[in-house]
Amino acid sequence: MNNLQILATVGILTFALRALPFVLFSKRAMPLWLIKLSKRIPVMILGLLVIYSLKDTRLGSPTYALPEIAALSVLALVQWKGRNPLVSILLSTGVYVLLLQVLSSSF
Amino acid sequence: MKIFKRAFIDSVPVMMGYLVVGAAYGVYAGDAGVSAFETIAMDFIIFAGSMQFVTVRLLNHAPAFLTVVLLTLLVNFRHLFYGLPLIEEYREAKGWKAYLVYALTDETFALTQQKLELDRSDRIRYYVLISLLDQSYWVVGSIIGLVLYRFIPFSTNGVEFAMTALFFVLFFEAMRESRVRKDGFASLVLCLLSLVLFPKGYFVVISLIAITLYIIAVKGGTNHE
Repeated sequence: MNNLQILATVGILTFALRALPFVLFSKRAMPLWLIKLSKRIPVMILGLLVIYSLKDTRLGSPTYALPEIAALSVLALVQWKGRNPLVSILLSTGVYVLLLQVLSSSF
Repeated sequence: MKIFKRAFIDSVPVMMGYLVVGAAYGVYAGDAGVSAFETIAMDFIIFAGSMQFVTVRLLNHAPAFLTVVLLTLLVNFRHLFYGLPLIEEYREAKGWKAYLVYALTDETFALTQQKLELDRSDRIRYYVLISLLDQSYWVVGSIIGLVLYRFIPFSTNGVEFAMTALFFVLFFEAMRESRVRKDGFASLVLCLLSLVLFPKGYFVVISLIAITLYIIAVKGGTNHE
């Protein structure tokens, strides 16, 4: 395939995957099992995305798992007590960046 | 204005993540010899982070049609599930509906799953705003990457953790509801298992199949509070 064909194919398929649930169930009702699935799936997908985003960080190396563990602990604690998402996210990202740079320069 | 402020503040973590990952994508594409035009065109034609990285490797290599189709289905399989909880929410989005569906990335989906104390028409305005903001961060990030590629050797420094933190916070907040807690923990266990037991390339597909089977086989929790 040439580049134009590749871009068109990937683009159309990506949109089709996103649109399929809306197309299938905009007029007809969802079957009961799918309604149940759609109610229970959000929290499970958020859990998946947490693991998914950690999979791409440098968990493989023992030194690098420390920034993740520390930052996620700070994040959980601050969010639990403060309930301010932006503050929790900025603070834990700061912890992560700091630890990552300190640890990667000292090992 | 109030809704724009809310949407902007909520999207700041996505901005941090998208600028960094978008810049990494721009550098990656430049390095692979993809033209600047094609790099930015993908932000609009595809607009799906990991798939754009994969597509960079396909361009200029004349892949077979079936290869392109299977790779796209495999990498973007999870998007099939994002619409399900949003069918009702997006029903009355009128002219914006196609855009909302097209722009439903991982991060935008995650932001739509918060509890919003807004009426429906304001919620739709909120969804449109976060979708537009998120896409603009992604495009700007890609452009920064293309520029960086030309001038400075690039290294990501950990700011992309903001995206992990965003997913974690939204997951954490969802878990305050006792009804979903069992499902949430089950998802972490199933996804960790799939990460450990199977090749990384299949992580999402296998996790989603496991989650679907789990929901069919195991009854959901009830609300105690």
